[in-house]
Amino acid sequence: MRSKLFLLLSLLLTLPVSAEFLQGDSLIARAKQLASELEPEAHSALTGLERTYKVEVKDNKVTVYGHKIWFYPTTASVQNNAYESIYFNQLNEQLTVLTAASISPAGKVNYVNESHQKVIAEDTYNTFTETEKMIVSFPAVEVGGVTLIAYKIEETLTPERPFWSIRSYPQQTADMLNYSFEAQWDDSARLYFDNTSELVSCELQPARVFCQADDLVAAESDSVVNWGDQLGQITLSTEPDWQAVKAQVRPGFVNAIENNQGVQPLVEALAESADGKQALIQRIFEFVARDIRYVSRSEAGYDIVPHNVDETIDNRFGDCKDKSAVLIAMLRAIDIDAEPVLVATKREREDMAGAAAVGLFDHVVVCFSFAGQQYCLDPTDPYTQWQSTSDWIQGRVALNLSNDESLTTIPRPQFRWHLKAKSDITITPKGGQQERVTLTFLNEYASLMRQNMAGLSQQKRLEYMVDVYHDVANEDAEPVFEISGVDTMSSYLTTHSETTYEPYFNPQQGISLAENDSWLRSELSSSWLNNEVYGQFYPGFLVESEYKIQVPHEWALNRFPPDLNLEHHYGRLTRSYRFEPGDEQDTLHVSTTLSMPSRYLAVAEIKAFNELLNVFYKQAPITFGHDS
Amino acid sequence: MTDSPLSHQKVAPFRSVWLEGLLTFITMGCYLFVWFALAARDCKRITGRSFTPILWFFVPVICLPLPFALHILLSTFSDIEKERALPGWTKGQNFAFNGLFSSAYIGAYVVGEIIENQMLQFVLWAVAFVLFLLLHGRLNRIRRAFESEPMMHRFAGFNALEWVVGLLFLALWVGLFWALGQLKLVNADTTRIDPGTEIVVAEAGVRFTVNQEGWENVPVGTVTDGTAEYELRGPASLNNMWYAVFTYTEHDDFNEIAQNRYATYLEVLPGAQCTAARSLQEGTDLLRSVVSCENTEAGDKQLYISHLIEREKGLVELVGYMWVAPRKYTQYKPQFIKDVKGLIADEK
Repeated sequence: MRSKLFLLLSLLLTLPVSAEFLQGDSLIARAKQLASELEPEAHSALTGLERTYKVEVKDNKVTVYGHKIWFYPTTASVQNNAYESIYFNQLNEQLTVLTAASISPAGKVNYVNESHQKVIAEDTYNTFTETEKMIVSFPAVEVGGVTLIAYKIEETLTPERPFWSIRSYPQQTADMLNYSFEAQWDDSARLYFDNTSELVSCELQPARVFCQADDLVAAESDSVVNWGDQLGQITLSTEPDWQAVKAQVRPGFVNAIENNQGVQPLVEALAESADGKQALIQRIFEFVARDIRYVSRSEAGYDIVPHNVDETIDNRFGDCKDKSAVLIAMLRAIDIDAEPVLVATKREREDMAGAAAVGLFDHVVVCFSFAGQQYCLDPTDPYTQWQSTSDWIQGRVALNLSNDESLTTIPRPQFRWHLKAKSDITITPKGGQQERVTLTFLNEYASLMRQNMAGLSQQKRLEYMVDVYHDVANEDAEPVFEISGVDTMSSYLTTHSETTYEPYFNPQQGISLAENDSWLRSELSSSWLNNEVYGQFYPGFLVESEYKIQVPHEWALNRFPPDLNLEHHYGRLTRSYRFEPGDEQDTLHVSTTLSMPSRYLAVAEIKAFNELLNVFYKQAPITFGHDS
Repeated sequence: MTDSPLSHQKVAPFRSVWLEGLLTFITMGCYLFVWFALAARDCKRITGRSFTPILWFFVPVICLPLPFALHILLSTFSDIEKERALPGWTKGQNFAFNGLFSSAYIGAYVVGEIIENQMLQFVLWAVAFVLFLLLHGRLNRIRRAFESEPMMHRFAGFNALEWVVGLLFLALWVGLFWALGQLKLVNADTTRIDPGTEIVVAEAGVRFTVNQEGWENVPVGTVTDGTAEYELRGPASLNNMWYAVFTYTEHDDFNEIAQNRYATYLEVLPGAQCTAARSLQEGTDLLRSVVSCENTEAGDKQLYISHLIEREKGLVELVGYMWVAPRKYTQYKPQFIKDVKGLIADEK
């Protein structure tokens, strides 16, 4: 009994109660110790030996200390992972690399110098964050060796920018043997903590939090993953709730929109060429999306604050905040109560958002109600008609700055991709065919096709569509295309093609034909989902296909395509036909509709979903002929 | 004492009701034709009225004139009875008898041909038979009042021709029962199916319900080339009608088999009109196909229907075929198709 108590006491005393941040020789000694304790044969991929964060907030100054030690058991791990990426915001954060080195299996230490460090912009188009990434390339990394890095990121909270947050993912795509996170703060900035990871244990005290985990197994990768939605995370933020986040961001928009002397004349000018309010919304949106070009403008003081509306109108450029402010001002000028909405473009799950933080969001759009319908417009998107929603914000976590609601998501349409295909085919008595196809891409699909073709010359656009035709219908055909709707922001984009096929069968040997519903098949094959570990969102497809097939009357068709009524809770495929005998030519009309509504599919459902697509795919051919 | 008929020709002699009944029964009612012809002949001889016996031969054959012919016959009987002061039937009794006999006789035909209820048909025949015996008793009474002479000499109540015909029919009966007995021996597996019976074909992993009368289970190869797993034959009164269950392996392609059925039916039923439809089995991504083709050939209607069901491994199909007269086609087709569409596949 006594020995058991002694053992328990010993265990309790040896458990770490704080994150021990190390640098310099201490860190090198620690790395060597951990490497010596390691059983190399137990690790066949990159393995984290230790990852430690220590956050200190004192007198409005936030300092994040971090150190990481990695072990490289294979050549591949050296080739692919012998570097470290540290993200920071250059406008208000200062990054200092304290120690960085590699240690060979023989114990030789190779320090990183300035030439091994590079800072690159991490920004992506359409977002307002000004994140930079420092890449540290470790020198002389060998198989069986380790790397280590210690750094600190400092930021001072100011009245203009009083908010701060950090987000840490204990589990990553490599095994991690030791993970710890500690934060302490004083009265100058109260911090709010949240943990969505079940893999770490945390201890929360009045002005301190400590989290720790051992032997974290690498998260499995997959075809499509939003890591932020899948991996548990520790969040620390200065904001108590989402209303506080709104209170931080909203004043900047209010101020920018108030400076709007240039808006009214602009709206009046646009109204002259618009017939009705819908048309005017369209004209206004086109102006903001197309006539004001996108330029990233998140310089100091403007990372979450838009520039004045008048300034943006005068410049005819701006980022998503600036363009949103202009769009809001112009829509309000025609009595539409538009509001700015923050969007996290890499997040779809509100429950995984963690503690309320401004830093969750990287984008802003404009939402409003019109004629009983809710619309969210992305003014940085020059391709999507205003009644559709840009695909990269659909379903993303969002925060409306002008109401009392908490987090929400941008609405998704039932079908993101909508295609109408009309094929008019005349089969010649010798077995050749003339084919005329009209494709109408609608809504978000029109936007995608427009995006693919907008930057191309007219000739290149035609060549692009020929390539698409080769991929979808027949790689040997030589279709002649006409395209319309690329340079507008309408809800549809149309292509017409004419193709002549030389005789490919001998009618004397019997009439038994199968006309592949190529566009339908193509959409089906592009719908297959590949995730094996995580659930996946399916964006929804609607394909309406009409075939008019004319054949010589003397062929006396008597076998027609079977009616299809394939109804499943994932989607529906229907087909019916109508036969019209004529004097010289008979006409077979075949209507097919594929309807696969958008939905979230748990990983266990993906196989069944793909199997259904396969069943539908096999029913795509339109079979007909003469049997006697 | 008996008088000669008015024409001084003699009538047929008395024959007991039971012998008359036996002759009618053994000749499967054919003797009725002769009975009506002789009755008309005797009425002509007694009353001198213009009966044409040969036409009366056809009265039982062509059912519809029966009530009118019987009315004439019964009225003549009454007149003779009145004139001879024989006990007879009143007009009301004549009318009632005519109604009952004609209804039972014609009804038996109608039930046999249209409604096809064998039990009811049997009852109606029995009623008509008993009534006929009553009528013959009445004719016996009349004939006894007149001088009679048989057409041929009678031995034990029947003349030579009647003996010959009777024995021939008897031989026919014996032969028929023997043949039926043989058939039953050959079709040892043949089982009659009551309407509403769920047929479970365990070896194929399917079940379906037969909702029409007259179906029977027959050995595999009876209605197909032997490739089926199970066969049922429809009512024997129809030209041809059957169901057959086929199974396919997982290597057989659903689309190919469904389409082959379509093409084959078009080939074997010239000028056929077809429908083909595919759907998903409820709650699954497994397909089902129904292909049905029908045509009219030499006045008869033909129908092929295939219900193909996809399973996790392999396919199973119920094929139905009917070749019947148009009237029967209209009668049988809806339930025939419904039963095929009711095929249910259990996982095998």
